[in-house]
Amino acid sequence: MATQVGRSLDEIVRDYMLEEERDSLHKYPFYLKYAISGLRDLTFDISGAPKKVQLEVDESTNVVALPPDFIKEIRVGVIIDGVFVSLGQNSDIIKKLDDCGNVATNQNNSTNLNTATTAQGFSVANTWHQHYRNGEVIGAYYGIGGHQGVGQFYINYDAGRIEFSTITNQSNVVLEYVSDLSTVNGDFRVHPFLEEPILNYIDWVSKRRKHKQYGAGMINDLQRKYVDSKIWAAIRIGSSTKAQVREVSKKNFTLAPKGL
Amino acid sequence: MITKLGYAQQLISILYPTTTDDRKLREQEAALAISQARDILIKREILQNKVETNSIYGNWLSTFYDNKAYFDKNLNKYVIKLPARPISLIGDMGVYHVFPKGSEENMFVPVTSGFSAMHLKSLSSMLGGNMAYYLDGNKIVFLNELSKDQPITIRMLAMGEDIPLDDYFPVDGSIESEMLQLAVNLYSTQKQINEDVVSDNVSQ
Repeated sequence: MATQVGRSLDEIVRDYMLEEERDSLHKYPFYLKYAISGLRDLTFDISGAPKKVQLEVDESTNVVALPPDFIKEIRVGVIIDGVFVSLGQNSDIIKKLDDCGNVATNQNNSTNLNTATTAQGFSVANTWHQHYRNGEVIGAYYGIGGHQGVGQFYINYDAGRIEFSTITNQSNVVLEYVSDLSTVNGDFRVHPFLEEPILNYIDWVSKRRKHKQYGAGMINDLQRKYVDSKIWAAIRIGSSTKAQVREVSKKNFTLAPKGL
Repeated sequence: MITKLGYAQQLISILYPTTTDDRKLREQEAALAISQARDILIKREILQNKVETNSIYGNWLSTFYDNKAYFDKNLNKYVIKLPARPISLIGDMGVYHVFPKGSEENMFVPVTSGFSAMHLKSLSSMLGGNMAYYLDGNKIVFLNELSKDQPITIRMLAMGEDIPLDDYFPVDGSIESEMLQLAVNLYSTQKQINEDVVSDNVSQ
């Protein structure tokens, strides 16, 4: 069984309550709420790893529902020959609705990149591996013209769905996105680097509305303490290993004949 | 170990040093006065100490074992009728600890009665996977499913009046003297009022 890194948020909240010299779980719900807000703040700014999911497109309407923990998209694409290929974003896509307000079926979505054609009418050979090196797009879609791709999408936030105008003949799309916090049995896992900022966040937020009791100066100090610990956490999480640094420094080296 | 009865007898001996059976103050009344005085003092002490500590002295608490839950159809939840009335404190701290028998580490989380509505659809509504209860009058209501056979232990700051006469009376030496003094003050007025001691319609 894999070992999970970090501790649960529940344990961290109990730690805070111990520091507050509490001997019972009264006020636990309040502290937990503060801790979740803190964790969310840190996840968005520092530790949040992008989530990648494969979604099945409803081929009759060419739409797909957004995941419930969706916050913001990073990229949308399809997998072709084991390589991720981005779809183009197009805010002009509008889906027809039927009488019930649902997306109408059988809308025009015929363009297929596997058989995409240039403006001049020439077919483009689907040789994706030629356009990618080391996992990065290097372009070289010669002759295909502007604004061509495997398809286009529009994220309809109100309706909670991604709408496609054109798409490959694949029924699945890949969505990479910033996700909201997710729970495991009602609890959250917290990276060890984030423990200190979360404790400081609870300390600050639980006192920030009690100016009369703690004074504005102390509350400002607590906020500063939180921000400092957040910066330190960002530095720790963002630090690179020696191997990673070496990898980056040699990335653009090519095996060209010397002396030319 | 001094029981509530012990304190009641002490109060009677303070107010009526040469006690006869026709004294004005009965043991039950004296015990009630002692209870009321004790409750006033410990509440005052807890609120005064709140700045320094958020805990309650363990020797002021009473523990009640083997409480069984039943299903309340009106609330649609499992509830337990409290074995004693709690002293009212901020955050319903009068009911201090509630946990399944023999499993103190799995303490239930106390919430407010509006918790379910206030935290609706919030990530905090899951309470980190812990089970929760709230205080509702003379009972505690559980937010989660509970087995009817599961005995529950309740540790609380019980009102002195609800502690049996012969049981341990949770009070300590530091406030004993003040407690008796307060109880004496409560009944010293009564002592001065003449009463019909020999049943001849003449108050003496």
